[in-house]
Amino acid sequence: MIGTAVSRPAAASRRLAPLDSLAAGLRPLTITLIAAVLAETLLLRIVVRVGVHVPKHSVLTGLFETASTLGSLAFNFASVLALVLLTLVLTFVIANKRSRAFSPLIALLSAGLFLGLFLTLVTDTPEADALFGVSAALLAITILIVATRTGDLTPAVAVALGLMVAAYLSYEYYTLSYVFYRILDYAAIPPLSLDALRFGEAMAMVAAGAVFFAWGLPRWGLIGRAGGAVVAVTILALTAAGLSPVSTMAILALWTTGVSLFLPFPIYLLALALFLLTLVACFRDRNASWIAAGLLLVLLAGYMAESTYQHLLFLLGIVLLSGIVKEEDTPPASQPQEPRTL
Amino acid sequence: MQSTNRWTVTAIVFAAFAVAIVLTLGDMRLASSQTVTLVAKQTEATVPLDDPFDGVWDSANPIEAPLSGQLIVQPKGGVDRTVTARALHDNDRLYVLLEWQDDTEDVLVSHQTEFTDAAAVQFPVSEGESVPSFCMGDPTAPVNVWQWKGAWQSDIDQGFVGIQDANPNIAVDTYPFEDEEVFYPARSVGNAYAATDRTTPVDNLLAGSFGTLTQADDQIVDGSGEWRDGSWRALFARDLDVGEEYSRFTVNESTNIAFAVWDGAENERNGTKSVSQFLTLSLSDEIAKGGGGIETWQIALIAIAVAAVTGVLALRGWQRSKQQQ
Repeated sequence: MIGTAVSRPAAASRRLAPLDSLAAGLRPLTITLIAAVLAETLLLRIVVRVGVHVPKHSVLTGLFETASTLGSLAFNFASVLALVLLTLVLTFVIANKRSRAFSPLIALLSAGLFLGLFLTLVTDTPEADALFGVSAALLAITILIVATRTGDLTPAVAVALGLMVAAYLSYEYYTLSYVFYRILDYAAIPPLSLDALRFGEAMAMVAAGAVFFAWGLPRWGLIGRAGGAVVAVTILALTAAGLSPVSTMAILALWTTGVSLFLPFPIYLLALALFLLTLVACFRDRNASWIAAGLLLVLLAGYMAESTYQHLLFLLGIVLLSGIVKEEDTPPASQPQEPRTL
Repeated sequence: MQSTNRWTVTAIVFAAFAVAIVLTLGDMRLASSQTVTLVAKQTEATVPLDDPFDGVWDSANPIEAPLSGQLIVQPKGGVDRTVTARALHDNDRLYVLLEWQDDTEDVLVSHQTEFTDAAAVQFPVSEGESVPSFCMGDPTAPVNVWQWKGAWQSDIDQGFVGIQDANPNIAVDTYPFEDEEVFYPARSVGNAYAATDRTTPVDNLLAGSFGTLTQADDQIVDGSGEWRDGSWRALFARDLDVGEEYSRFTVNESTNIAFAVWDGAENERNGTKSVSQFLTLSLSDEIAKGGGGIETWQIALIAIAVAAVTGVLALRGWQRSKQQQ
């Protein structure tokens, strides 16, 4: 079951069997989600946008439209899976005795999040946007606080998580301030809204460095030549794209990672390089696969989460990175086992 | 993983895929936009087309949109800017007002090294689940662009600036056939840039990806612009529904809108501009009233309080967990 492995009566194990079943499915579901998100990013956010550079004639137009359709399919598939997984993971967090003190709050915020999501899809009102946005923001803060209580966070990890959540909250302030001004019918510009947006983007770049320091540097030796080469080629390709007449760099930035490139470009390159190096290192560490999954979801959610789907990806990533949820095999009552970290 | 778990996971994945197929075939997305929305409320007052600084705009709900330099296709250019956008409607026409900082008023294009200040708004021509590429749309999702030009505004306000006006010291003996159109080839074929008798400073354009920008057959967008104390205001106005060839606006429905700004003093023209991403434009039947707002210090206080509470709770939790260990 999800939680600390201790010897317990068989009856309690049977009561928790449904959760055990779901817990065992968390890994394959997460792998499927990541595959779907990568497919959506490649087919919808990258290929379709980069494809505007390609001269259109019969064959290429057909390929262009096929990529768009498949990308939409991948988007919807990833959206449904993200919803299912976030529901599962939040259920585990609520049921986890490590976060017992905050369980009612997390349950309330989760309910607000899903109700807000449903209402935004059905009614498209600012009140629904506010409910979804505020619930998501408060959930992110709560997850951060709960994570500090697990006892497993190093200061570096806490700082990295804190910076990611702070960047997210900065963007949320930019969008939610306008939502609330619209609800309250204020004919004015919310104070510091654009400053918060820019500040959040800068913080996201700093967070990439903190991520590397927290999770990448301790695993530096695992990156290897192949991993380093992959990251180097990616950065070189982006640099070339930025300097070339046909610039895919800006498209990738604006649509895939959601940054506006207002800072000097080398800062973005450095931040992305550090983040990708950390990703590679964590993927190569069997004990850090969940950290890799969380980092990938946060990266693909992007800084400017312009759709509810991206908010769900970010929250899922933060929960996985926080280490609140621990996976373990369901032990028979007579054979307690050590918990295995996700 | 036990077989029952495997079947459960498989069932979830297949169910999710089935839902995704249904949504995709129905051209729907299981996600809602969370971008900033420009709300065009209904105004009961008259919106003067020749005064962008009229007090009627105090009742509109403004938004600030960040603009970035256009870095996608040559010629690249532009800088980071901010544009303040407002919108109103009166059930017949949509009015969009853009405001941005510009130290100089650049409205002359009489020499090859002179470029005009300008601003534009961009809409998808037709509704759909996919937002068009903001690089002037794409072949599957064309866009309708309204571009206001400072030079065209100057032509209307102060008259067309000819060669003689731009170069007062030039010496000319005579212009033979001065009144014959054949010797003004650009004007005689209808080149919009060569026109001397403008009725609107706003150009109505269509595009289906970069490099395809074309002047529309119908010049149906009105407006005006004025520079005052280091900032421009450009007003765009058009009837809500003018046919299927152009963007249509319906009260209580939403579409997408993007902005662009050119600074003539920085030699910006064509693709060298500052652009925004697509935001949401929503036409509301609520009456625009104006007023309200929160002070900066109140927001700062709330932010500090949230950060402090989060920090204290996190630190106490961390210390407690370390003690328990």
